[in-house]
Amino acid sequence: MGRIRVDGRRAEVVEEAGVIVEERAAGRTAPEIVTGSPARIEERSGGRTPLAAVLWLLPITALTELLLLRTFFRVGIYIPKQGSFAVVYRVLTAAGSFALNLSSVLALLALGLLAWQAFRRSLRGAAFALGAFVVVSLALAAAGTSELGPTARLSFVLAVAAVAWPFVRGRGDRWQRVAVAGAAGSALLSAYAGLVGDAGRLVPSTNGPGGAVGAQLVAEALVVATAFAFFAAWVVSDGLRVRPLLVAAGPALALLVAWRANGAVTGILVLWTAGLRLYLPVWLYAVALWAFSSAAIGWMPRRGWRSAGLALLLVAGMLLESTYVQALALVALVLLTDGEAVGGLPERPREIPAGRTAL
Amino acid sequence: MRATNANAPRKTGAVLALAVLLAAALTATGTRLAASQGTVLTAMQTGETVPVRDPWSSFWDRVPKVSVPLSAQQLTPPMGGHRWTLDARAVQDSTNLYIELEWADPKPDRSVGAPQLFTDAAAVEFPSVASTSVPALCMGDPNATVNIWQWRAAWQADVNLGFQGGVKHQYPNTEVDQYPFHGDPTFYPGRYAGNPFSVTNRPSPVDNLVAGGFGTLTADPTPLVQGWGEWRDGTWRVVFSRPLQVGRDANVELAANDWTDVAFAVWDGAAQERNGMKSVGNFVGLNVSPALMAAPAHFPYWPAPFFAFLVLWAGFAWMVVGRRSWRKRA
Repeated sequence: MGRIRVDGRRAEVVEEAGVIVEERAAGRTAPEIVTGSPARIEERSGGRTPLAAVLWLLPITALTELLLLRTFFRVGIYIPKQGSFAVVYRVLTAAGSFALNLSSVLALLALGLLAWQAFRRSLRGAAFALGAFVVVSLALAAAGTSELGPTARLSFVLAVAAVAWPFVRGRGDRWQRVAVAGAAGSALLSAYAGLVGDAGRLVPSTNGPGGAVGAQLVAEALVVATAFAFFAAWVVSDGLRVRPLLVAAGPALALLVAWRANGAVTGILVLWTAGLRLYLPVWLYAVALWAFSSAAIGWMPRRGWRSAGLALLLVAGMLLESTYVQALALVALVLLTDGEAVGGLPERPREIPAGRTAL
Repeated sequence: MRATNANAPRKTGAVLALAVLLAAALTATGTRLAASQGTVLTAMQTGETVPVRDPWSSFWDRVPKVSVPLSAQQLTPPMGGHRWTLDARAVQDSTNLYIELEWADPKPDRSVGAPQLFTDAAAVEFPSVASTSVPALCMGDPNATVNIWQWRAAWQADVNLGFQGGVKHQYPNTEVDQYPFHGDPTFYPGRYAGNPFSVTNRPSPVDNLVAGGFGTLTADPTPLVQGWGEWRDGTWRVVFSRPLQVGRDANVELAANDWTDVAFAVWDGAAQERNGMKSVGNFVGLNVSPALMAAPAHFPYWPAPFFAFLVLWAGFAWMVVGRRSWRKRA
């Protein structure tokens, strides 16, 4: 908790001493001697395990895809396609397409590796849920939606519950648990809206289940509230720092400037990329974006996996209408829960140890 | 106890190389590993006569609808939108495709008779070549044109009541002494140029448009698309109708079992929305299905079984999540 290291019984620990931790939550039958907090079992390979590498690379490719394919490709129609502009445009959009495919592969690979890790650590619930989602996603990509129906969305719901619930009901940082609950809640509400649509397709009816629009509107409000919860979690865990606040102001100001310059295009872009209708006052979204970005940047030095999780959450968006963004959302939840459901996260290289002051 | 893994860097390199190769193969073949689970609008087949000119007919209440999120409107308070969703329905009778749109609008705006007036409108957009996804934002690009069917409330008023764009329609107390060369087309440049705003004998309230990027919007003079819109109790309903096959360049051609993308847009005249200032929905899939449109609620007590299934699934999830280990403790 903060800068005080505790053992499994929440007693303070002397730095570098061996600590006996009873992994009660993991269902282990014997105490295990480890060094480090229970939520971060380190692989002593300097963070160069396949899982660490995949988790490190995934946010980069996902953000690249978001910027080049879902944003630049769409606004690139304003750029004259002549001479060198045409070449640059084609290269960047091709790079965006490659980034999407690489991101898809890495997301499923990450979930597969996390499922395997959970299985090896006897966390069979999470292993089953994550593994099922990976299998269903691959089958859906091969067979098509009409054959498998809403299976992927149901497996996504199961996986969200399996990843988020152990952390939310645990003893971790309160604000982080609230934020994770909000993110998971938003994902589940979006899934409900999608399931209503699936039901309408499978059983066409004029008195079909309702509430899809209401669920999406509540999910959007929850997204905004969760951004502030992540901000609070960052402040509580690492303390308030000026530099992340200043850097995070950039995206928020960009949103406000874009809205002011061309609100129609901005609204369409936000809907098509993040799935947000912007039905609340736009300044609220800007402030929420600032808070969210502050947390993502502020966590980078000491809790880099949480930063990566926030980045993936941003790329996944709210509507979650493809197995790709659903996979990103699941990986994000695993990272934001410090891997509690899967037995921890690999060591991240170049992380500033506790006790040292970050920039 | 510290675990070491000297082979980790080699394994990592192999895994990443495999991922990159797979991604390159997917890119080269144009394949996506992800499966879309977005909204699908299914146009099932009907043997009934579709009431194109009666959007509020009970027939349309029997057609399943999908709800499409709309982007925010940004001109008048509350800036963020009062139109959150558009409902879309579709049927086909093996000859024509019929699409009905429904959205909330507290006040109908039906006039463009003065510069400060803007009309309510709605549009349906297809890629000109079915089964291809529209790559860019709204208006296509030179390599991927789009076919747009745009209905305007002002055009509907022209069809219902005759041309409403004259000065006396907006300012009824206006007196006209004389129009020199009245009726001489030389002095009506708008009509001469085929400006849609200058049409006085409108065959359809729906314009059939083609675009290949911004600034290229072109109206097809042939009235291929029919439609009808009516406002009632704070809601617009508009029906679009067009033959599945029309045999014209840049106009979408459809047939049974076809899948394509479709997008919708809405303009609110009271908010001074026009041109690019509009609310746009997500792209949804359109499936022209040969399946017959069934009578509603064949499934007993529907949607109760849906919610019952969700409860069962939640219970299953609780079992999976609640038991963190499936092995007994020693």
